[in-house]
Amino acid sequence: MEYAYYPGCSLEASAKAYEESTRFVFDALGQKLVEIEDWNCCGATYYMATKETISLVISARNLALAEKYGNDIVAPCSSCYTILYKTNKILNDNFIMKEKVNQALKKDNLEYNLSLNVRHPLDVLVNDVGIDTIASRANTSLKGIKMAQYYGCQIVRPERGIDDKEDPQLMDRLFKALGAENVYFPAKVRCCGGMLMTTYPDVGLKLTKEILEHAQDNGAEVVVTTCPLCQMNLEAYQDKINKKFKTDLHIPVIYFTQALGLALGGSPKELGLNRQLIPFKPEEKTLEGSR
Amino acid sequence: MKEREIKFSDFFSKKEKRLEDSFIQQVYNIPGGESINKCIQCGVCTGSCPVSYTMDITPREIIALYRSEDIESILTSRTIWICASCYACTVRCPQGVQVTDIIYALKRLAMEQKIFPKRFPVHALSNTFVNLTNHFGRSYEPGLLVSYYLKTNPFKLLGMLPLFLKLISKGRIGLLPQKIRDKKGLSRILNEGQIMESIVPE
Amino acid sequence: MEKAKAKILVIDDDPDFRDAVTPILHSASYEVVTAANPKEAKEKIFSEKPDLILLDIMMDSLFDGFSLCHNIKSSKEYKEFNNTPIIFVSAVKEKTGSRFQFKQEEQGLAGPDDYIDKPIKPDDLVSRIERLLKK
Repeated sequence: MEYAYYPGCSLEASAKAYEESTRFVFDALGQKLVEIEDWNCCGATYYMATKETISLVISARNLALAEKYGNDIVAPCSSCYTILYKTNKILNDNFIMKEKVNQALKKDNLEYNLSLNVRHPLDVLVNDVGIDTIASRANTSLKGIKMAQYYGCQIVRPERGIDDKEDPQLMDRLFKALGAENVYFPAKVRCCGGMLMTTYPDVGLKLTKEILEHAQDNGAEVVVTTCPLCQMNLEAYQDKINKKFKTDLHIPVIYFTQALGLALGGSPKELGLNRQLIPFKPEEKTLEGSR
Repeated sequence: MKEREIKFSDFFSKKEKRLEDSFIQQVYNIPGGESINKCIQCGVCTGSCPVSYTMDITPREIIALYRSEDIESILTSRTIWICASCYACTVRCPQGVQVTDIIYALKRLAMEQKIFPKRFPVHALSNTFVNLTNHFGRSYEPGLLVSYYLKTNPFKLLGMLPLFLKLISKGRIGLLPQKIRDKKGLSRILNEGQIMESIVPE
Repeated sequence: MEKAKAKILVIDDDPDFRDAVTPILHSASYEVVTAANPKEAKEKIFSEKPDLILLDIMMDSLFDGFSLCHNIKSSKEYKEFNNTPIIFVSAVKEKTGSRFQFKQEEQGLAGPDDYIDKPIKPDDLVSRIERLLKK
């Protein structure tokens, strides 16, 4: 299948590893991602907080550009995914808003005709490609790797229809089939604090600490995420948390596409694992033996 | 002569009435927004909220204040700026109230009316982000953070320096912002969008 | 026929409306030019230099009348027409259940001088035009 690909700003910078591993995984599974030409920032949650119509306009520009590539637009960043999904929903739901947005887009000869589904790569991989197919293509077992599957907020919430809102299973099922051991992890959809880490660090650090503790105390050796902001919050602030709360947290946090890429035979470099602040080196003990 | 019906809103000032009207307009633009009237004040939203412990007005109280037509108190609370938009409240509400999107509507109203809580500069982050995005067509994380800290608390920038350096060494910070090619087209779109933004039902 | 009192530009994508309003304005001694969309309207404004504009709101999109109105009233491009009176003549209320306007607190946005809902009453239309042209 071919998908219109919307990387989003984070995947060009702080989440470069997510970009590299997403492309690797789709490639390895014979799925085509076609990057939308000249896409712009989706507006993120900040824009939604300032101007309603313009926030929809700026994100709908991407939808208008994507329409020529097919019916599905894939956005790995949870925030982009949410914003594009929400924009699509509002424009489908609200005729007046759709007309306003298209009136603005017309100034650059664009128009959005409501033909797209906004998708997350996790949904595409599990539901379109299928776990059985992925497992049959995997050449490296993840056996023995203890994972905490962290979904974060915006993949399943609000209504997405791709998984359960309180206890999602997409990643759990996927990695179980690839041999990994999923630890008990009740914090899988708890909020990491998002931008609170910047605006209100005391709150952000506390939320992040609780999630990481759930993972580490339950024996996970790695946290697997689906979102650039979650990944950054969970990985980059562990020193600060340890200092503030006198904890002893030290756990790598990777993207689900990186873990999946390992199973599909990707090298750590191809999957951007060299970009980790807290290194994840499973091959030393498990991957080698199973190859 | 027919007796005039006395409305609750008669006791409130013009400003409060105007805030109320703008708010309702925004809420009704949200898919499912009208369910705000079905709130039963059960408090599941507050209980589900991971940050309600640090809010001055809880999510349940926001709906209660809206009902007593006191939007201004909500706007001056730090609650709306502390919401991390995780949607836990929204998906658990038994009445389908779109709590998170309602809080977005309140943020926009506060930005528009320039009503902010004291010493709580989250809106500065939003504004910085919007300006950067309008300019480049892409967001630029380092630019955003530096400009935000300079506006709010420059000392914190020093504290962030070690992390910045580590990220640069891992190739995770671009030293220059990315730009879109069609900046002129985008700015035409944004100008027209501003005109469309300002059209409201009479 | 007596000399026309003024020139009126009717901008509306609905040919029936243009056909219906033209004789009404003629009988009140106005000269009429018409345009069927915002693009044609722009040409006609510069070539015909109308004294007053009747402007539909819903043409190519639901609100392009607003955009055109704002531009005529406030942009440099339309400098010599910034003061030309504009009357919205629209069925937007019939279609959406509400009239629309620019937010009052928003700075720098220019709306119309008057607003008439379709269907129009000929006498009402003419008297409103006269009132604006007298100013």
